[in-house]
Amino acid sequence: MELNHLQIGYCQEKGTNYLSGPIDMTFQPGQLIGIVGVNGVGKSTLLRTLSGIQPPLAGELTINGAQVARWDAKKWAYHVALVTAKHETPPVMTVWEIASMGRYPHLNWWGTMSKTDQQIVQRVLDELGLSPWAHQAAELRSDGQKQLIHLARAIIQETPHLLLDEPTTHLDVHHSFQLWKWLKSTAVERNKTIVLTTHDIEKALDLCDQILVMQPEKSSWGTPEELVERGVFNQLFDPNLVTFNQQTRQFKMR
Amino acid sequence: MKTSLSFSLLFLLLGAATVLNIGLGSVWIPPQEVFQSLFHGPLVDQSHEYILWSYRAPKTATAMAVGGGLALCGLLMQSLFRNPLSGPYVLGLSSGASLGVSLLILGSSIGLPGWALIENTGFGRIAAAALGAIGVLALVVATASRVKDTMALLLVGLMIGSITSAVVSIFTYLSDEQSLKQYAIWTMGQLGGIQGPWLYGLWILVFLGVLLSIPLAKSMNAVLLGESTALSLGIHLKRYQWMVIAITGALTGGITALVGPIAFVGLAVPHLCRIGLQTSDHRILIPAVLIGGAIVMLLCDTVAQWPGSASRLPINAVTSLVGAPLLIWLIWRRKKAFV
Repeated sequence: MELNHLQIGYCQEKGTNYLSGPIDMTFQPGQLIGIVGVNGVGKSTLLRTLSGIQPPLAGELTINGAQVARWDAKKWAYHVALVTAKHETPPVMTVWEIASMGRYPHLNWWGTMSKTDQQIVQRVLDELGLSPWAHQAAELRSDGQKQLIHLARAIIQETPHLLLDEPTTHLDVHHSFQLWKWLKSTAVERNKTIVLTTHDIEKALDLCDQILVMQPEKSSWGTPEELVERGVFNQLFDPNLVTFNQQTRQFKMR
Repeated sequence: MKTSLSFSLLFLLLGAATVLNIGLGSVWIPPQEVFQSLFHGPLVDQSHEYILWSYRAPKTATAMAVGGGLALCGLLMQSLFRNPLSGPYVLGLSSGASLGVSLLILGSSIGLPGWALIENTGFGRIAAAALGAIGVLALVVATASRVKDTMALLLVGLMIGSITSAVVSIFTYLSDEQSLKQYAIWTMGQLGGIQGPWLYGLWILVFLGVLLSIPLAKSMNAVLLGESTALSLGIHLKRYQWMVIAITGALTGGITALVGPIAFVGLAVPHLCRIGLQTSDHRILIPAVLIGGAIVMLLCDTVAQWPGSASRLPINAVTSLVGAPLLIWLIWRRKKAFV
């Protein structure tokens, strides 16, 4: 996935509302990529744009060298899976039913699942530890487990690109660490590009291969080491309130 | 296994409701006579034969098509708006149909120029209701192309409904007593009197609605997870939304034009089916609401035509009085909201 001078935002009647500066970057397979930035800078909008839900305002987006401007929803669904930060868990739907919707792009018009499709669903539920509740109502699970159910749905979609909007929001420390580790290994083992937005910058610095730091004027992009060296994180937040230690790679309140 | 058992039960209930609806009325026609007339030729009792085929059977067929059609509209709209309060009436289509009919019935009495020339025939009423519903549908469609948010569209539908209701109120206030009574009777709903080509037309309309809805089941399931998720699952959201609006508009407009506005069925039957079958899977819910809607409508019509009584209660009042408490009780028991 390649972003060339990509500009995101919304077209409104009063004019165009650009969020953040133009973005130039390339996502490689097998990489875990973090998107960080202050609230409202357009992290979720970028994910919506990268998943084809919202068109870019300017610039170009290509996937495997192909122009995506004319792709229909189905073609997008073969290439990119998205888990939004706000996901809905309908009543009386089981964990299995929600997760198996990830197979939808690969199924016929009626949604008939083959044995292979069922095996894929079962394998991912096993990996994420959701199997014990597979046939129980998803609505009754905790917020963290619901998050995992939607993540399972996206993985089951089996796309080369996986976009996750704040996937660790509802998770406790243990499950958050577990998920980060799992995402990192999944990206490598399945040769997937996993892009996630997060406010946990320290964890992103530890585990991500590349980080995009979104800022209103100019976005920065590189490996964690490069960005730390360039002092990008020192100016990310108000220096009167938050400081960044380049040695420990940690934020501290002033 | 559980689903096939539930459907067996639904079919059994449908059979029982059909037999009851045909049999009960001012004159009791036993089930064996119905079967005899169906499979072994005319009955000895010619009056029963006449009542059965000229009145009861067409009314039963109308009730089944109306109930199934309205329940399907409710299911489609609750899926489109992801709102449990949605029903065929929320887009203001029924109000549009009422406006058309009120214009036709009450127009001449309030002195609209040239109105007396338009004959107040059954066909005229159907045309007026259909035009009213289509007019509102056109307005909703125009709004839908500008407004991307489905909740905003729902609000616009409610507002259109309020405006048309207000106009109808002004008409009723200004009109004479006879026209007012005529209009009031239409608003109460009429399942009887739909015969021949009109009945075939109604069934064809509902059949087409079902045929076009079945391929939407997968999209309806995906939309339950939110519009963004549905899009990322490869669902053509715009196409799905337009299909739902077109099917609902045509079905509600057509049904309301023929039998008058009928409340409750479209809103409540999908909820009853979700609670009863314990599923949100629209591949199961579509056939379930068709059968469920037909059962509810047949039972309500049976109550409206109270056994042994010559007079009839207004069907619109019965659907609300029978169905609404039933839904409240079921929700009370489950203590959960259903979407």
